[in-house]
Amino acid sequence: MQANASASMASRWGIVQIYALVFGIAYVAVAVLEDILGTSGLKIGGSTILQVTVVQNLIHWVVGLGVLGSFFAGERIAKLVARTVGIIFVVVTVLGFFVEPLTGQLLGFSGGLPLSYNIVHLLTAAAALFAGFAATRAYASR
Amino acid sequence: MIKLGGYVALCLVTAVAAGDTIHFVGHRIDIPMTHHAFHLLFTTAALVIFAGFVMWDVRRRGWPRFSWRL
Repeated sequence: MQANASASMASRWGIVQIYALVFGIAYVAVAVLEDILGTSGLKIGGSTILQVTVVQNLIHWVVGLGVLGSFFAGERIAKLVARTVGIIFVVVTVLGFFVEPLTGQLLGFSGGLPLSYNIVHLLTAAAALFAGFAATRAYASR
Repeated sequence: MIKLGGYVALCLVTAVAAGDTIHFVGHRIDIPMTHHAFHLLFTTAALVIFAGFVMWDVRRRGWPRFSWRL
C-alpha cells in the first residue's frame, strides 16, 4: 500500500521535481548540520573534525532553500533553478580543477579546494543539468 | 500541499538526525568525522536516490528527451 502510494506520488512528479526534492533536502540537511555541529568548532585529539566556513554555510543555505523551494513552485521553476545550479556548479568545478588555490580561498578554506569537493561539485552539476534539461512533457507524445 | 510539506520536513529532520547520529557514533568509536565526509555522505546519498529514481523512470517511460524549453 505504502509502496503504491510512493510510486503514484513519484509518477506525478517529473525528474526535475525529484531532483529538487532529494538534493534540496540534502543541501539543507548539510547546512543545518554545519550550524548545529560547527558552532562549537568540534575537535578530537587536537584535530579539527568539522571545518565550517561562513561562505560555504551560506552557499548551502541559499542553494538548499532555492532547490527545495523550487520543488513546491512547480516544474517550470524547478527546471530553471536546476539549470542555474547546474551551470554555477560547472563553473565552480572548472575553477576547482584549474584554479585550485583561488577557489579554495573563495569558499573560505585556508588552502586549495580538496579534490573530494571537486568530485561532489562535478556530480552535482551533472545531476542538475540532466534534471534541468530532461523534457518531461516529451513523455506525453509516447 | 501542507501534507506534502510535512513529509518533506519529516525527511529533512530525519536526514539531520541521521547525520547527527552518525557524527555522535563516529565520535564515540573514535572515527574522525571530517566535514568533508558529511559533504560526500549527503551528496552521495542524494545522487544514489536520484539515480535510482531516474533508472526506475527510464524503465517505465523510456529515456527522456532533452529540451531547452521550460
